[in-house]
Amino acid sequence: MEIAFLLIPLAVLLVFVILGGLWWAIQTGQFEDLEEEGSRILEQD
Amino acid sequence: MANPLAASSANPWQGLDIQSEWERFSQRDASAAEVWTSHVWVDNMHCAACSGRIEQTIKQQRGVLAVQASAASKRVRVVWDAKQTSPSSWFANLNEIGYPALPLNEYNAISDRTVQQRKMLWRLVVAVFCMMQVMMYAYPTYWSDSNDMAPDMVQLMKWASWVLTLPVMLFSATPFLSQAWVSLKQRQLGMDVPVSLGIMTAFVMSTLATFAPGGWWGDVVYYDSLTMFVSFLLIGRWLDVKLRNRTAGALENMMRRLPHAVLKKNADGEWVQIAASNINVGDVLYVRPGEVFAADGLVMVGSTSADESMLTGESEPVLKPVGAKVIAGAGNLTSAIEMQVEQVGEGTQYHALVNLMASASTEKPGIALLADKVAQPFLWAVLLAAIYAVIFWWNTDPAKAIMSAVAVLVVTCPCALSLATPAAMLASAGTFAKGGVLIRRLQAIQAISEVDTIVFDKTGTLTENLQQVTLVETHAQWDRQWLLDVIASMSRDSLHPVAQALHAFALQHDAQDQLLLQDWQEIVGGGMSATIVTKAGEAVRVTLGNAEFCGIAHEAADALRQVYVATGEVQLARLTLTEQVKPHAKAAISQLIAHGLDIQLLSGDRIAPVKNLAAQLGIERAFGLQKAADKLQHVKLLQQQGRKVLMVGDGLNDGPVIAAAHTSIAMGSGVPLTQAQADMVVLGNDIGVLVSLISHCQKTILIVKQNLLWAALYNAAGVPLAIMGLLPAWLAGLGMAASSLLVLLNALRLTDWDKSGWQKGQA
Repeated sequence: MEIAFLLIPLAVLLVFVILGGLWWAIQTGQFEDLEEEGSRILEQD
Repeated sequence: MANPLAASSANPWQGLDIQSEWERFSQRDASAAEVWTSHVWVDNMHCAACSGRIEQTIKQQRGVLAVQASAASKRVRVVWDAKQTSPSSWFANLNEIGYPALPLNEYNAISDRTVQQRKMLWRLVVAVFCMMQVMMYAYPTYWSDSNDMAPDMVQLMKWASWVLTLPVMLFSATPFLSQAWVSLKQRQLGMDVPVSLGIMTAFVMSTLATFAPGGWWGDVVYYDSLTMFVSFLLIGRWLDVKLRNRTAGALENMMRRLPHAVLKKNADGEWVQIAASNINVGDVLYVRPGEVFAADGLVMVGSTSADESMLTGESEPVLKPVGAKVIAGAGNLTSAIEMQVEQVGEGTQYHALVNLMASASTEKPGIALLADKVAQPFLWAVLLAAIYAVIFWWNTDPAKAIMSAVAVLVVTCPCALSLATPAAMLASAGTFAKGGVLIRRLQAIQAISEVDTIVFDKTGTLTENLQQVTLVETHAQWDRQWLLDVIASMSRDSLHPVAQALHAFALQHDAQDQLLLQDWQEIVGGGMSATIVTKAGEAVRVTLGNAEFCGIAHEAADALRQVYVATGEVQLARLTLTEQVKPHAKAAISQLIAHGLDIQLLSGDRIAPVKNLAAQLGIERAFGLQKAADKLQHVKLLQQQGRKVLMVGDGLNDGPVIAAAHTSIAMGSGVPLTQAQADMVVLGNDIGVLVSLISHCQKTILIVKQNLLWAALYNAAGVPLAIMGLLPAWLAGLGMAASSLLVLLNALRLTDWDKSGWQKGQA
């Protein structure tokens, strides 16, 4: 079980890395329009 | 546009004190020259207690005549006197009490809302993500015996949970904490105070248990309950933000209709592009088809047709020859024109409409006023209950005492109570707006749900403005079918409703509309003329229009509308136009009667046609020859009998009646919205909407009552349990979040509006 003493801090670090990714996603507006972007690819310009 | 807030000085709002700046978000009062009504946006106004505090504080300012704050739409309406105060002073005042405001002009609000929405989502994501991790570390301690895990492993998990709770405390929960701090500094009680007290206490207790276990605070940690509580609070706020943005979005879609840049003729006669905000009265603008008119004005060169449906409800395109008035916000449909500007900005009918909608969304319905009233005493009761829980348990177990108090604070979080009414009302108002029904006062929803008698006006309400055509007589020496061909051909290219009715009528009678017309002309308010070659090969000038236009003597007294075909002064044919009952009128009336409403018909028209119409529609009580005073008398009589009367009319000619009636709806196309005095305005012509409108209003009030009942029951059950210590902190958080979500989701049911008829599932 000693490995948990390494894994738990690592997991906590990983949380912050993932949160960083989510921050990027929100700030670039990835969640602003969930419907239209999906259908836009099907429409002609 | 320069941001007026960018100016840095002692009072950062001084920039707003120039009249041209405050005019961007204010409107001059019609009666008093120096009195202005301003709309501002207050972002962190979340609950009934906040809006109450804003109203209280600003009202005390000298020169502020009235304040109306709506937590549901985050708008504050301030009526103020320019002689006694200036916008900067009450803006500064709002800032002092912790509610920084933004002038509600479109650009600020839109970009601000995007930023705001992203930030809220980010707070929510951080809280939920950290909560999930904390749960993972909390889980083993719940389900293992105390000997299963090594003590240093348990300690490591506590530390990890603490690290993961930090971002939630320091970032996600800051809106609640800072808002609570501000209201404490003001020595006032907002909904965030008990919430923050609960969050802080739980965090301090858990931190002590983590880093200094063994004190009176015990060694139990509550990181899981804490992060969950914050997450649920944020989910409630997030849904709240989305719901508001949907309503605000509908408003802004209207405001964004006007173009930002226009083509203006400069002194040299060249076209230059200028910003729409720089248009002045007297400018000549070039408007291409497909564009929206940026200002009110007159057509100078060219002729076109305009879509004014958004402003007048008139669904037909309106012909705009040289000299015709065009209005801002209407769409230019057919061809490019030059126009001279007569009115810009706040003076236009379009702006009056936007302001109308804005003030409707800040007005508080009666039920919401009740919530405001109970908010403060309720919060005090909550704090007292929490203190009582601490005293009650302190001698037995201090840790349990503190956590029971936390449970009381958390479980009573009054989000549900303060959301109950505005969420439902706004959801309905937004739905109505999408379906072409504008609400002037939110109270109208409540009022309409209570009516038992509906009084209809006739013309334009139950009958079409478009008329039914009958060909009465034709000249004996002219071929009847050829005359029909003439009528069809001449009326073919006109957009006037009468001409379109004639065209449709002629085609129904097998006419061809392909005759060769030379010099076809249309004169507004008269008719059309053209030169046509007859069957005999002779070219004649033919006129189609009213008697005056055709040069024919006529009897003025006849109630029916007459249209003539003539050449020279010889009458070739005479047609009459009669009123036609609206397509869904009969079905609508019978549905309303079936649902127990008493329907009456009051009209200024002669008795015979009124009775006739009433018989057609199945209305038992119909009264003709009613002048405005008679109608008023009639409605008052009904009210003396204890009836709640809904008046449905064109909203124009019935001013006093509408004011006297319990509530009113203006129907029908062609009604200038700004003059309509009705509580609701139905755009378009479909009377069938009325049935589902009334049933939807009843459904809205039903949902408001459900919401209020639920919030009350939930608190009545939760508080005693929490004081008795039977409610762990996490369950209290779950209950609070569930009740808020339930209220919001219940309100979201109102966004479905089935316009086809009486909605099922009603009491």
